[in-house]
Amino acid sequence: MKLIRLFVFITLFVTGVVANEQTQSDKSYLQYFKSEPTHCYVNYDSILKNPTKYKALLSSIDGRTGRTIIDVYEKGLSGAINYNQVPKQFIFKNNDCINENIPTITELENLAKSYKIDTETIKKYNAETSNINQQLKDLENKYLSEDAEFTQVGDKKYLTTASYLLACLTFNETIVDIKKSLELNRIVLKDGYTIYPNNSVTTTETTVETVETGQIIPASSVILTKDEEVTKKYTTIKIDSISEYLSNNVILYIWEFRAKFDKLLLKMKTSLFLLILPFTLGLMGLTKITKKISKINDFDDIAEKGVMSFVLIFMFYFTNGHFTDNNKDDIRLSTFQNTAGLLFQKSIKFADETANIFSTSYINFKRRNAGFLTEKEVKNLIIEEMKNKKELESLEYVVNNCPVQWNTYRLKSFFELADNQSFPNRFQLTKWLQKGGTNAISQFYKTEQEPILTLQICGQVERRVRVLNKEIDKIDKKLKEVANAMKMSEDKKQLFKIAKIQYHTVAEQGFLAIPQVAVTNIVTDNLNMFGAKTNEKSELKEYQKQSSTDDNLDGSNTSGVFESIFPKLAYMMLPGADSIKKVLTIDKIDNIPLLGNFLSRIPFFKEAVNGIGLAITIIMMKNLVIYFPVIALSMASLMIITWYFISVFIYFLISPFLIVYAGSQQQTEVIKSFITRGIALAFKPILIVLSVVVTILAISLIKDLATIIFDKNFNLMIDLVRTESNYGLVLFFLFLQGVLTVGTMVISLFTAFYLVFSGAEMFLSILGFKETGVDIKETVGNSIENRTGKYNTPGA
Amino acid sequence: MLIKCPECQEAISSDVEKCPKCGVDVEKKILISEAVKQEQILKAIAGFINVIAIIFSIYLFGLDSQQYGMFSNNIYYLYPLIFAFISSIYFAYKLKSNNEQAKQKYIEANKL
Repeated sequence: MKLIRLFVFITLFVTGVVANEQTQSDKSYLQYFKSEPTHCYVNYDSILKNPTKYKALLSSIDGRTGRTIIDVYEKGLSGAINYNQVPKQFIFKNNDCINENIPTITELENLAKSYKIDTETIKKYNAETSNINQQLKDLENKYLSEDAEFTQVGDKKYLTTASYLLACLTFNETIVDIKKSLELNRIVLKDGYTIYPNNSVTTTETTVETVETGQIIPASSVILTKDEEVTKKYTTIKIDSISEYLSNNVILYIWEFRAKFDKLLLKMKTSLFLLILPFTLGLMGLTKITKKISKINDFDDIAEKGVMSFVLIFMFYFTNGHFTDNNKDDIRLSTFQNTAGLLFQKSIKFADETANIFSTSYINFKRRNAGFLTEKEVKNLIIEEMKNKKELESLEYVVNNCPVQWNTYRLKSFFELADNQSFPNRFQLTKWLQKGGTNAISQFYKTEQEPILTLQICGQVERRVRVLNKEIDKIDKKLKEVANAMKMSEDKKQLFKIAKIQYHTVAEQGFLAIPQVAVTNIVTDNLNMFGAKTNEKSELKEYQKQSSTDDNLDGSNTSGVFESIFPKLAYMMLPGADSIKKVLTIDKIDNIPLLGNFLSRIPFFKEAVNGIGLAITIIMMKNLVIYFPVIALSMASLMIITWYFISVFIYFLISPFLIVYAGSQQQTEVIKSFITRGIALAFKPILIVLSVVVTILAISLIKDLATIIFDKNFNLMIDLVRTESNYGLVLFFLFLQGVLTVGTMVISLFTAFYLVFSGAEMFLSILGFKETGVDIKETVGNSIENRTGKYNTPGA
Repeated sequence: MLIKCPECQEAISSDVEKCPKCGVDVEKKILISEAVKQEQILKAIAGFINVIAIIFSIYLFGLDSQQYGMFSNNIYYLYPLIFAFISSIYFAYKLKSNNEQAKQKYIEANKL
């Protein structure tokens, strides 16, 4: 360890020295050059102190920061430069090269106008977006902030459904009043807690009452001559909470069982403990004696065992009674149980807060996708766009002068440059120079003198211009999205709807609501909502097409109209497709009632009907494939969340038995292992939330990577087959491409399921908790999953 | 009601499917003589519509797949087929009513 530290220290020191040396070399500029450069593009060779001995080349300029790099090569005796030498590099800031590019207000205004987001529109937009953002912020503040109106209920602390359920299952008597609950036969919370957020529900109850003779019918002036039944409507406003719809009776049953079991548990613990302890002590003594007689060294730590026995008794045996009345049933928890209960509650709180963050960041992500940027975000984009454009302008001098000073035609043929490239890149040039091309460089001059703009600079600027064009294009798209977003009132409504429902649910239920967020993500993406249509995926497809054309693929990526049908036939490969098709197609037309006999005489009727059946099957399979992650994710979340609560309950239920097992085995290890498993269990809710976050990423990543990795390759394969004029095989490859797309969707379906179901477990095993029994999933969950898999992943 | 059998000219009930005397398919025989031309024309039109609808649907399906890929949400390529389905039902109904009319006409002409 010390060696490693020493190594790190030495590395850092050496790096520091090297960095320092670099700075010193900058300072030595005037040792080589007569003066500082007078402007940005200077022939540095002409200001060298000793031009016969050295050759200076302008190597690189950063147009934004003015960072200039000059390479100085030493000339040989003949005056030739050996480019294989490592040049002396001068890096400094040339103030003339700095294009601060701070746009003026008029420039910004003009740019904004070009995007139809001029002052007036932007004012309107700002009003709208700030309205949207403000409303979203208001929603966030109402539901999820620290002092959210929804959960701040004054003197009481609001319990999310998750916290409430956990408190019930861990017999947490600081939160629930078990004694009173059992007496009143309903769950009663302690004074400081409530499950009711600031949420009211209006209910209208209808009752039928008999109005006696001689009375007036309510809401009319009719006097009754005989008894009559009159419907009355009562409107009441009640406070409501989703938590109370949890099965209260089961919890009461659990409490009653535990209360009645308490005395028996104590007896059992005592008798087992008293039986095991002497037995263990006896055996230990026997071992000591035999070892003494055999004169074998014994390294057993007696003190540790003694201390651990005390800890064991204190933590797991002693309990605290809450009911003073001895005749009544009681739930007495051990010190360990009380402490673990607190830990579990704390962890649920963290998980709830993680869920809050997840939810708000998700809404922000969707807001940006839909183009509802904040005023500041739009302003930043416009400034960045302007800066890029200004930098592009500043490079105009180089762009215009390079082709004047250098023979681009000769350069292109000599370096075998691509059609859209005029100057060799740095790598090509260096390679050539190192091979001895120094003296031949003059063949590329257009003028008699050596050009001021070096080939390096020309190449660099050519590349920089392309980068800037790309940047400008990207921001341009973003700004157009912003302009479009103003028209999308539907998206705005949907976004609010999602935000309101999600914030409300997360605030009310805590981390239990997290699968909803993920499910909404899948659905909105499939519906191409919130800019999903114009996102990177479609751009990627476009890029793949473009690059395939550039690679001289003979149009393989543009399949004909009839060829395009074949990829879609891949949906029929999915299990279940055949059964659906059978239902939707007809075998014997004669069987159709009424007109069967006549329909059977109509030519191609059966084919037309079966065509409808086939198309509907394909539509159904497509929807099944894209929407089944929703079912998989929901099922997996349901299972993993339920298993978590059941695991916690079991952990609590069995903890008193630890005294027996710890007493009969290696105490330290058993206790340590039990506690670490408890910690793993306690932090499981946070891991569940994280696994859902990972799932959202994974689903998107699988689809993107499949496009990036395979699309171009398939285009190449189809191109190869097509050039062989094997049209049948072309259709087959198109079908295979479709199978790959469907397969990708199926993989994302499985990923959604397994990442949510086993994600938390995976994280735990990364952290080193690979022991079984950390939660119930190991034993119960997987078995259930095996048997119910077909419901989660049909068609796969 | 009694009519003449179109084959053996014996008196038979208008409700029987086959002549109890000569065993001929009464309805078919009547239609061959009365409605065969019309039926051929109707079947030709219906078949033509169906073939065109199937080809057009396949073309639209391909066009949609080409433009919007594997996950297109459009269903417009189903419309020609649905049109073919409805028109087939119409033609089947037309055939049925033609047959009934032909039968009625024969009964009227040949009742005993």
